[in-house]
Amino acid sequence: MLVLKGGKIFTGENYITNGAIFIENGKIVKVLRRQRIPKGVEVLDLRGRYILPGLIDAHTHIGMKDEASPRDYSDVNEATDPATPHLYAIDSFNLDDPAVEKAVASGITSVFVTPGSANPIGGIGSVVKLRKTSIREMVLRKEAGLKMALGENPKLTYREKKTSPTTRMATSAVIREWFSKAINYDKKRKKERDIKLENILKALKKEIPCRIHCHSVQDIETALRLQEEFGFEMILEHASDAPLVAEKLKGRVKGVVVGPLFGVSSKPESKNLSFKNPSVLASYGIPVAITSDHPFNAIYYLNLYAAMSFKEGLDEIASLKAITSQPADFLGVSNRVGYIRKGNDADIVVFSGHPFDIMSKVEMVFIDGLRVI
Amino acid sequence: MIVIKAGKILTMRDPMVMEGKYIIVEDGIITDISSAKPTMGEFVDASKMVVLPSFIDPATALGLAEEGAGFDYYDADERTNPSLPQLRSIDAFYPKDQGIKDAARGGVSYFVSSPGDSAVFSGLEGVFSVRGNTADEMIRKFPFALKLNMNYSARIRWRSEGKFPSTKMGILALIREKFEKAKSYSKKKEKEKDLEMESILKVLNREIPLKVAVNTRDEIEKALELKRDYNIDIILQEAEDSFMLADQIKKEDVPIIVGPYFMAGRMYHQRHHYAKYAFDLYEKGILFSLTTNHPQIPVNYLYHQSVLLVKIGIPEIDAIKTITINPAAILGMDSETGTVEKGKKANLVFLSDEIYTLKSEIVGHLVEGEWVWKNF
Repeated sequence: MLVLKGGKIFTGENYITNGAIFIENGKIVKVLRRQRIPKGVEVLDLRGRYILPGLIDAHTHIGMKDEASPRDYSDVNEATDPATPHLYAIDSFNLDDPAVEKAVASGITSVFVTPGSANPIGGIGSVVKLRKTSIREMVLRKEAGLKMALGENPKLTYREKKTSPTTRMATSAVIREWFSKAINYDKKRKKERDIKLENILKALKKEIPCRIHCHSVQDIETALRLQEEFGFEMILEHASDAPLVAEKLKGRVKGVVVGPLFGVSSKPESKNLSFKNPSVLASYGIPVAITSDHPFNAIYYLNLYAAMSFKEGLDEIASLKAITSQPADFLGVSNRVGYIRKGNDADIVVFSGHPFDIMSKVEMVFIDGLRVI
Repeated sequence: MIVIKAGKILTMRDPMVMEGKYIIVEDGIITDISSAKPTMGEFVDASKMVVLPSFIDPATALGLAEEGAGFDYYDADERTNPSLPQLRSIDAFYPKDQGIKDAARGGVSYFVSSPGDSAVFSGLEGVFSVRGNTADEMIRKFPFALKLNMNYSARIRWRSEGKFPSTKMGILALIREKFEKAKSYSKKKEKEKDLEMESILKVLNREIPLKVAVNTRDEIEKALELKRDYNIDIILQEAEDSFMLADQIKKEDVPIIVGPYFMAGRMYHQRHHYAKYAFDLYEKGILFSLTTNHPQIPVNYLYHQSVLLVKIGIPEIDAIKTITINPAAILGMDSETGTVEKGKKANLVFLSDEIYTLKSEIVGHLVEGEWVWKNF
């Protein structure tokens, strides 16, 4: 039994001041608002510190392109076939990527690892815990979302190859074609197993959400149109123009994953991506997570991307949620991570001061109750 | 009948060393190892020599890439489709390849000829003997294994052609897709014969193992995952990062083929390509063997390469095992070769002096009772 007492605890929902967190066998067994601690247990006094659920990045490619490797070692995009729903990003994940250790040192304890955006239907993303053991043990949820992509990336990828899709129309045609195939497949009584269509069916049956890469307003509207036709759950990724259609998105999307925000727009369709977007979307009641999209922004500054969103109007609690409980909800793992509450995994980060203060340092990181930093 | 008076025999089994014995060879088989000299037979005086089992190289392109003949005669790698499990290395086997003669002189009796490293499923491997004049005379086991390439060279090949699969995740998806298809195929009652599926089914039915080329830790983990998910037998090859997963590999009883260590690991994924990492495999008791991956380095240097294992601290006898009984076991042929033992094939190497000494030469090589090299 280990007790973390004092300081300011952000539970994933709100603050508790001068409380206590009881950890046993890798789990949080009790969270108290007072410091009533039995004798004989190990206690860490965290006066003056900020204690958060281990941070979660809702959209990364960490491990899929080892930071130390030459350029041709990227396994992020299978840019050879526009429909690859049978791919698992975790199969490209190398835990020896130095970014994994750097992320942990910055308080990130879980990530969503996802295929890139070259393909209209890219493949399955997984939730991975960053305690370096083996890939099998690190996977928290193998099937957490079906990655899809609209807009410039697929069409520019395949235009180069002179094959379809080279336009936005053809991109959504690929999606419609494969989703329709999956519906037909589902109806068939006698069938040979088709692992591509099976994975699409997981999205159509709402076992996993579609995670749709989009930026411009026409792509966001296309996503809404496809959702209306096929009835899947969806989370929009990046969605630079989402503030323009926020009213329409409300109630239709599970949420929006915003980022990477630190840097210039790399293409016309993302010109409206801004640190203001989270606050605008939140004002419409749309849940928001903030991402590094590692390696596009470095994952190790995730708290600072949230800090910038806070600065631009997202309220403090929502800003903290955007890198803890909100991603956990999006990823369907909130019973395990993202919250400091009874029954959840003891994945906890201790900052020396407020996590949005640029001078604050990560002092401790616990994963499954084990102190890794 | 051949009667060999051996100064010292390194048997690769108990007792490890025998001195002053006679090895009796009849019809290609060791029929006895005795202290008494038989009165008949062709007498071979090796009383100043060390006799040990012939060497076995479990991963070469011998016979498939005729030495000195150029790319027009290069048949070791079909680079047109990522899934070619139906290819059979024996169909390209040229029995007069110079490398096979070198193998005989270098003490290598049996070798695996592998159909390539570009396709993900690159085809069926066979075990050949250096003795014989035609592929049919030389083949000893076919198919021995199905070759699967999950390594860097496979995905970079298809990426350069803009074809699927160009990533690690793409390769895994292709493998699972084919495996599932083969499972469906096997259940069908009325079917047209599909050679691609037939080859894969041999693996799924555990008639033959899957020989998997991998480099990094994550690739090795994925290979082990395939083994568990599909209940198949696997052999790892290259596997530079295998020392990181030595416990798990031992637990799952997976053999490994390592090397060639005379070749530098020039690429990022080969940054652990050093003989020293084989020590962890040895320490954990993992069944592993060396390869030259001929023509990466010439097959006749298989024995010389094993000295690198001695230099990193592996005992001499255990180093010899990595080129004799270990590969024999990996090939599933340890009941017939790999040791000097009554009842086994008379596959014997004759060294002029103690093992691992500079002046010691391979002066004779008997394969299945026939001299393939004799210089004494």
